[in-house]
Amino acid sequence: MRKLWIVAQREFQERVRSRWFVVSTVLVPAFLGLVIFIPVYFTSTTAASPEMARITIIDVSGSGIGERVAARLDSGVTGTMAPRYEDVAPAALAAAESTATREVIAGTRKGYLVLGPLLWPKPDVRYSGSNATSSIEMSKLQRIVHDELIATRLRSAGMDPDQVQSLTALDLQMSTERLTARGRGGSGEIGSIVAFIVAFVLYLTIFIYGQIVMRGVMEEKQTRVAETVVSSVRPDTLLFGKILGVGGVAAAQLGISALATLLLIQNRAAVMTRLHVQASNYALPHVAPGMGALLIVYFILGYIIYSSLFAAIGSMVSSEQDAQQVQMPVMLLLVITALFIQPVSFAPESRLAEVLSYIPFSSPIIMPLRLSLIPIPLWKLAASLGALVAGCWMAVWIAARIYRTGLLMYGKRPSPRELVRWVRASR
Amino acid sequence: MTAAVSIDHISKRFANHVAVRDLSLQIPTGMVYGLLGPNGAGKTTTIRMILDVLEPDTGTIQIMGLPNGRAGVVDRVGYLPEERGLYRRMTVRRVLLFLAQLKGVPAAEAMRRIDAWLERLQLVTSERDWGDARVEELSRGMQQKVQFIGALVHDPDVMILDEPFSALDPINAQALKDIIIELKRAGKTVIFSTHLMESAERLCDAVCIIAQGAKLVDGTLAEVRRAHGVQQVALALDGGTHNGVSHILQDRTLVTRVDDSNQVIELDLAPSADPQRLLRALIEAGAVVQRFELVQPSLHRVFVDRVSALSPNGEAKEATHA
Repeated sequence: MRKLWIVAQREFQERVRSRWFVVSTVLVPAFLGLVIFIPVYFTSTTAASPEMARITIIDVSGSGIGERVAARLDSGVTGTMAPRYEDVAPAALAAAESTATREVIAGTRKGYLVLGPLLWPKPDVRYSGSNATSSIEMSKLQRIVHDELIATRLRSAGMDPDQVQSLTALDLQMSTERLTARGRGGSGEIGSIVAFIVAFVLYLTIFIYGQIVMRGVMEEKQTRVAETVVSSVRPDTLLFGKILGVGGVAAAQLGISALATLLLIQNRAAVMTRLHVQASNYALPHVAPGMGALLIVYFILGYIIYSSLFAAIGSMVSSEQDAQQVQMPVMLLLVITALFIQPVSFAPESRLAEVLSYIPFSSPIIMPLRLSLIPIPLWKLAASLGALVAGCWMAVWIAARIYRTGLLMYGKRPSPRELVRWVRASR
Repeated sequence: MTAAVSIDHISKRFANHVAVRDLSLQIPTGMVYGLLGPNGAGKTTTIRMILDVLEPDTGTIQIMGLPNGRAGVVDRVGYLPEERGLYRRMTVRRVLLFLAQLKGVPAAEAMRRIDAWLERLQLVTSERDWGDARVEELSRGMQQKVQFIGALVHDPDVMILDEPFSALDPINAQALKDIIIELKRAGKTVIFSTHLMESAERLCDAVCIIAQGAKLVDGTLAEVRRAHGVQQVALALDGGTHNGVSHILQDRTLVTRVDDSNQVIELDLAPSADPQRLLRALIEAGAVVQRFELVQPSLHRVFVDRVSALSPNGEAKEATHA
């Protein structure tokens, strides 16, 4: 037990100290962050620009509404770029417009807003500018004008200006929630996206860390350091220590990445405001503690079943080429499972999805995906977990037996018949 | 006194051959013990069974009087494998600390010993502290030194060296020999396997020769030579063997084997032959005898005789030159 810990500790420490770990741990959340923020930023970036206030407001309505619109634009998101307000007589409109057009073409102004006669019910308001295609900027501008028009109407209907201001002050942020036959909770769309991401992250992590375990075993065998180490620890202990240590690295990395991503999402409003983007208003799906624990259990078992098989492969080969060939079957199991992620996420209740939930090689990825999409009866969950635990036990047992023989055996890789003999032989 | 290692009727069979058959050995404490045999004789398999890496199919092994499978027993053993290697990306100190901790040495104590050894084997000098370098930055010779330290750092009672002198440069071979002698002086037991009879003859108190998985002979060096039963004569004649002496050397009641090395002729006396009678016969035949010396067979000779008796096709003979 003490030796197991020492082996695991070495694996963990050496890997966490490596540059690879630091880089990939930073990169994953950074990448996720980019994925989340970049599209939002690009679809709305011009809207957020303080530039949008740098316009000319040509008010021919004679109501003074232009001044109030200018005041609204001047505060809010716009910062220091103040709009220029011109109260113009209807006769002078053409001249004012052509001046404003020249300014826009010269680039000194973003555009100009013409507030025409305030006709009932359809006032004459138009905007020309270089940013006219930015829907978010335009809707923002339109909302300001809209609010001020209503205030103006209320005022002209005899309401007290202060009262108008307090009554029209309204900050509406409509929250949305998806309601389906499966029940309510979180935003359904986000829920399925999150489920998809969870399945994919599970697949990637098992894939990457399985490979790391295999490379580690190959390194120990090829450098012959295994010869020295097995004189102090049993091969079984060495194998389990390695799986445990590398698993610890995986957990640390996933933990850090998940935490960083979560923090990023929770504080996305602040980040987006910094980027002058309006914060989108989706709710994170609520993950119940029980569900979280199940995810972790499936991840651990999935990692164990695949990494022990990869370790066995690493122990039976003596060259990179052999490793490429021998790992194909295990690789295929994993890749084929990944191919099912999408079909299952579309039809989590299908027969296919159900079957894949009981096969130990696919259930660690498919079952968490289904669990986050639909409610699964307890007995089905138990059956899936039971099959997976049994599969793990088998895989570890076989892997340990291959490993202890293969580790000190050099040269030609074993034929399937020899492998069977290794598994059946005593130590 | 309890034997350092006591091997009792062990056998190990692999899928297509028997690696070790019914081998029993008593390796006394405080001795330098040579496990001799041609390649493929079962030396490494035997060592792996002593270290509890492999389990014998039958038989038992005790180390310092305790079954080797019991927890902590193999921690009393240090091992330098024939195929040597270290974690290439770890620093020297961390590798050594890992190996020491695996043998149960507390970290602080291990660091102290590692520093002492690094200094002694000149891996820490005024110019450079190689202890903080990665293993892959070290020269081959330095890596070998690190490997010695790894095998010794937990101060084992029994040291097992598998073909220790193969692939060692002369300086490190000397350093290792010094360490072996030092361990013996400190009352430790050193077991090494080799097929190089010269190093065995120089170092060993006792030896065991095994071939094809079975013991051929064991005992102290003197016992093994004596047990070989052959009396040898080193003979030098003025004028060679032509002056009518060849019929005497061909007399199978006197001489069973002649190995003419030009300057010296080595003769094996027939089992009951009297060396005096041979000398007399030579003088009577008119030979001018320059040297007539009764000698003990060399370990090399014992080894070649014993092993080739098993496999007459000379396979073993070839192995001794490898």
